[in-house]
Amino acid sequence: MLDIYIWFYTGCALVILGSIGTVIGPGVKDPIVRTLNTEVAAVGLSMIFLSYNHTIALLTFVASTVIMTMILLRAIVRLEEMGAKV
Amino acid sequence: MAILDFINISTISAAVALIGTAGIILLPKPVDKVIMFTLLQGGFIGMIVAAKYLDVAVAAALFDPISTVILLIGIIKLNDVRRKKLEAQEELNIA
Amino acid sequence: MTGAEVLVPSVVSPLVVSLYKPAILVGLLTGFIGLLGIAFKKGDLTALILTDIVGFAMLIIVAAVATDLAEALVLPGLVVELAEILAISEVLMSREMRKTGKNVSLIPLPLSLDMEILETAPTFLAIILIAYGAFLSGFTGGAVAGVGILFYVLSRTIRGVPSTLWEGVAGISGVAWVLWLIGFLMFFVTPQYWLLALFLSAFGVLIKVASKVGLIGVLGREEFKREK
Repeated sequence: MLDIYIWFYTGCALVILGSIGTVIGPGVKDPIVRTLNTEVAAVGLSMIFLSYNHTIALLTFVASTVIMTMILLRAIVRLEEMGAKV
Repeated sequence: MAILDFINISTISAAVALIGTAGIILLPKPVDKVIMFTLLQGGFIGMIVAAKYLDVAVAAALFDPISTVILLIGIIKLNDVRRKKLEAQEELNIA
Repeated sequence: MTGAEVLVPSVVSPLVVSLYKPAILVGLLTGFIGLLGIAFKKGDLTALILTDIVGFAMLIIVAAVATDLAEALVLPGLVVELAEILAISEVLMSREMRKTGKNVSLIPLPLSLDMEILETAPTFLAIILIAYGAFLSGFTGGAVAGVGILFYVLSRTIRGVPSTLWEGVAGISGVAWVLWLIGFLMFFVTPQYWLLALFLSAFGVLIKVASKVGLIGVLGREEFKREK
């Protein structure tokens, strides 16, 4: 019973801290730092799924986070290579 | 003995995950952030184990190194691109 | 709390009902923070990354429903978020390419990178993930197996993609999607064959999603081009 509260509120804290860190964290001028801060919010959301027992949603979300990271990194590297102002 | 009641797998993994979060947000260098991200993932896997979803824990433990490797490749490539760009600019300045 | 009793059926556990309000609050707060970031920070890439955060806020609000319905609604939400990020990133890249006038995509810098994990681990990880994905089936299994294929493809150092292979994989995924459609239709036309329809839809979606994610991995291999 207590475990569920621990998972849920840790997840909530991680989501809010991660999103604040993504917007105004230290050094977020660098897009790769911003992407890494997004991962915190993603893990927090996974914890919220876990506390609600959404197993299938949790598995799919963990898998699609990897794909999203890959897509974002590809866009960042490509834009940096072309010398875009970001 | 009341304090010992709070030491179980859920609280320990929550503490590990929070330490990882603080590390990711506060450390400025990307490679340090990747190391702290692994800590955060470790806390998350501990929580899944506490919920007794062992198949999901296996899958999450397999996805963890994959995302770390993808992040590392991206960081190395980005550093390479920036260094080459800086060198090209310096050559332009000298000439 | 009298209003809540009318709306919430008695089968929903009181624990979940008590978590509803904080979950909705966290979702709204996260969405607000993300949208404020999009509004105040300049730059397209920033907006692309913050779109991710807004998508998470949407998923929290959907997850707060906390029944099987929520689980069924989270999956389309994930599909939409994935497609959105893929589409926006492609638009940004092609616009930048047209603006600068040079086509960088043909000659990305080769990357000298010698990682032990990219030599030995991918086969093992890919086999386990593909087997587990085939066991799960459906969109979930497709995503899990797809990540296995993505990592395997990413670790290869073969240069270039033959266009026949690319079109072949895309064609297979199209045929698998047709299987999904047929299975879905069979549920309504011939309900007595529900098991066949179920397996047709499940494995159609599995093959489609896994092959499409594998193609994303091919794109990544071309981008992070490694030389031994």
